[in-house]
Amino acid sequence: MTLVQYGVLGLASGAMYALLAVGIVLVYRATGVLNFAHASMGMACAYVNFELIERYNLSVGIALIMAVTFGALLGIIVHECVFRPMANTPQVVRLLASFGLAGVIQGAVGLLWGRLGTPNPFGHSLLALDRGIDIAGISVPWQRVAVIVAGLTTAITLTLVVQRTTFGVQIRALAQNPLAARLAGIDDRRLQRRVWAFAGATAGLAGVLIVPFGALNPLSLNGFELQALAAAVVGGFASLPAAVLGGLGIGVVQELLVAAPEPINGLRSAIASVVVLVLLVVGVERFFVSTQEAKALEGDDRPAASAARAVVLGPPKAWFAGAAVVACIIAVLSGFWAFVVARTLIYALLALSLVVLTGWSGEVSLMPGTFAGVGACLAWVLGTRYGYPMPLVLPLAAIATVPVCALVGVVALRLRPLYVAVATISLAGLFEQTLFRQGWFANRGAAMTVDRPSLLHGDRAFALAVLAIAVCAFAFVAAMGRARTGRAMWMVRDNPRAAAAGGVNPVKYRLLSFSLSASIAGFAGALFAYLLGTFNTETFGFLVLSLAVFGLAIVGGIRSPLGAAVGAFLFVYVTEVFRTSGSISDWTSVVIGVGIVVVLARTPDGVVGTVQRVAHSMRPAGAERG
Amino acid sequence: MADELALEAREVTVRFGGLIAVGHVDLTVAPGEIVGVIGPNGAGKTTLLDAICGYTPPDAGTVYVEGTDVTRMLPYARARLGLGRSFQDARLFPSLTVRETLLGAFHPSFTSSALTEGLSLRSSRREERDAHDSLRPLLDLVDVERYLDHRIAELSFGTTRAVELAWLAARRPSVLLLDEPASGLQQSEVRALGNVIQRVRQGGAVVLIDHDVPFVAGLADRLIAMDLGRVVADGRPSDVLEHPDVVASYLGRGQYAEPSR
Repeated sequence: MTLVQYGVLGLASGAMYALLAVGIVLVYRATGVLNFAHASMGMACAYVNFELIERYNLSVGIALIMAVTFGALLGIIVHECVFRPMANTPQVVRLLASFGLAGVIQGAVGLLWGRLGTPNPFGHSLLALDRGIDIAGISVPWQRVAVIVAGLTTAITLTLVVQRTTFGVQIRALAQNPLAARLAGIDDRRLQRRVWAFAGATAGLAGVLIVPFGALNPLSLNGFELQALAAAVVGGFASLPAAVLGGLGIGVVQELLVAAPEPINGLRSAIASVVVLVLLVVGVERFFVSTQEAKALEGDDRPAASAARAVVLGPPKAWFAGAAVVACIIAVLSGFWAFVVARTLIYALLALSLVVLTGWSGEVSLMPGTFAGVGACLAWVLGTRYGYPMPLVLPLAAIATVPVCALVGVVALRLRPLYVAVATISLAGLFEQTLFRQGWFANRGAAMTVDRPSLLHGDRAFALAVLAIAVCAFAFVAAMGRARTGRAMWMVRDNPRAAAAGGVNPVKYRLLSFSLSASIAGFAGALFAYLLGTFNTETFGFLVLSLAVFGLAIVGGIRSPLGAAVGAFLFVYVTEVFRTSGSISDWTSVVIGVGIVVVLARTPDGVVGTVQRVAHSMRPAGAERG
Repeated sequence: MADELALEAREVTVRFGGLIAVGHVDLTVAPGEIVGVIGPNGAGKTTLLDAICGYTPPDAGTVYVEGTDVTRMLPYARARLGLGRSFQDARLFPSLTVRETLLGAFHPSFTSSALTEGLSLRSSRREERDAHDSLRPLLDLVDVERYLDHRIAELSFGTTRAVELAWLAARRPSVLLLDEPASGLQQSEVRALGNVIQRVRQGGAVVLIDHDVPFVAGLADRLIAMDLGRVVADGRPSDVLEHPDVVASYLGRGQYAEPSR
């Protein structure tokens, strides 16, 4: 194929990215929500479309209209039920909630339609798939032409609407100064509802149009979400024309890279990540947004800054006592359940890494799974390839993860929390596309085997070892949290300027929490490798592990080490309960997703915070002591 | 001569684009002296403080704290050399309790590290205990004892101000920079504030910015009046308040604003 032909193919996917990006940018501008579930909403519409055609034998055109309408309704429902109640939370918290929402939608679709919907592509095409027009020597099917035309027309129409109509002016006014906009008589609730309806409809249109070109499954549009986010970043999350061009550009460059020679064409799937990282670090926003609007968009809070009560830390003695109880339980468990307990403890360690980073320092790095993957690969490299013993491998894995994470920390220091979150999503993707596919580091992504030492060969013995290690880590972090370091992290999180005025070096404590968090995660990852025995890097993917860990840490209570333990327990419990009832992960992702949304909207300190508050309110009056 | 001054700022200039927020301003504070800075909105008072503390790097000029050139230092390093600073918004640390906030003030005097604290070594436990013991004298300076286990976010604005002052006093700074400590307070609270400031400074020098001119003039040994990024008058409070440029900058000039006699 020639470059022109690749370019035409690229335009089709680029038009989809553009269409999705326009919805993402509109919603972000009007409501401050960076919606990671945007593509999942489109995917749900694709399923509705599928159902209408397959079961009710509706014509393709009518099904399309109904699916798009469903998208608009879904947008309104999501706005009213999830994001409007959270309007006063920091933007990055709402981003996290949108991960929960994506989990709910994906799980619900999986439950309703099963994971493996494989529609007959011909039955779902609006136009012919097998006939088309000749462009530059290849036949481009009409459906693909339709995708390009429909995607671009819609994206450009919406752009013009925002630039030329009162509706658009109102959106911009709301983005720049919500209070003044309201005082000027703009009905912000109706406006936001309309924007969500628009966004949901365009997501639905994108979902339905994409279907004939790939298999339909609940996760099928997640890749599109990342590309669409990249396109939105090209427009600084503000400019619709730039986002449209960005989407097209990313689509075309991706296809052109397919034609590139061997090492470069591997960049194809990483291109979006690179674009996001570079543009965020350069500060792309300032090209499109006035300083005033940037400030209004920014919001001032880091997450976890104003939660309800004091943090539950627990004295070291309590941790060791708890561990003794768990040890007795492990001693009487079967091998299978001992394995489950060990897995729970490793999840708890991963969540602990987020307690330090997000709970205490207010940084949202969505890479706990990635750092765990680095640790696991190091266990394979050092333990299996170089034959180091486990007691040496674990600390080495913890230490070696720190420089990797320092890179993330340095990027994070330059960005505001919401962008740190987006940048770490991209970094996670970049790691998965590059480092996790190297032969020397990750066995080219194929299976890796790590052998436990003979003493810990049985699952029960290994679970006891994991327990001993985990309790030490928890006691360490809790003791640090109740002393000078913990306080310094909280001060920097709450108010970096005032912390500096008090002689606390904010940069030092941010980097410290990044490093500590990464080494805990790397350590836990290496342990996980030993527990699993055989694994590959897919286990540590962003969508597989990082989101689950984030979810369970939030549900348990992200500011407290106890919350990490409780969250891990609940997560594994839910997983195991629903394992018996057939489809494993669908129910889990619905339950965890709902948990995330409810916790973020209602009780910032999760299960632990709620229990603490209830216990506190039942205490007799006057018994208040700290 | 220079090393006898608690604070010395020479020729400090801060520009925001084309706007000169602070232009060639000199500010010297002797040990134990209270210097009041007054001026209308936009005079450059807070910007001057930010330049002294290091939040806004000055485009030109030098800043000395007790004779040490701090012009290239980060804010936290300046704080450790003896600069204490309060903020206009008095936000402090919303999710920390008053006790945690005050303990946090002793941060620079600790020798423990994350490692020794995590391992609960005896040395770091002792330091922590010592810090708890040091809270007592602070509570004698500022009456916030009954709020010790309340979070800052739950406190009234006035109480937060009081906690902020105790937080400053904990480090015994050689120079206290107070940015509008009286703003947002009730009149009765303002009257008490002067006494609190006298107690909290413990002999240290104070730079006091506020709109409440009688309050500043009553407390200050020396008064500096700023307007449009420049010092228009510097001297004894009574002299500065009668300076024609000061009167003009507060009341405006021209036919509608003849100074009343």
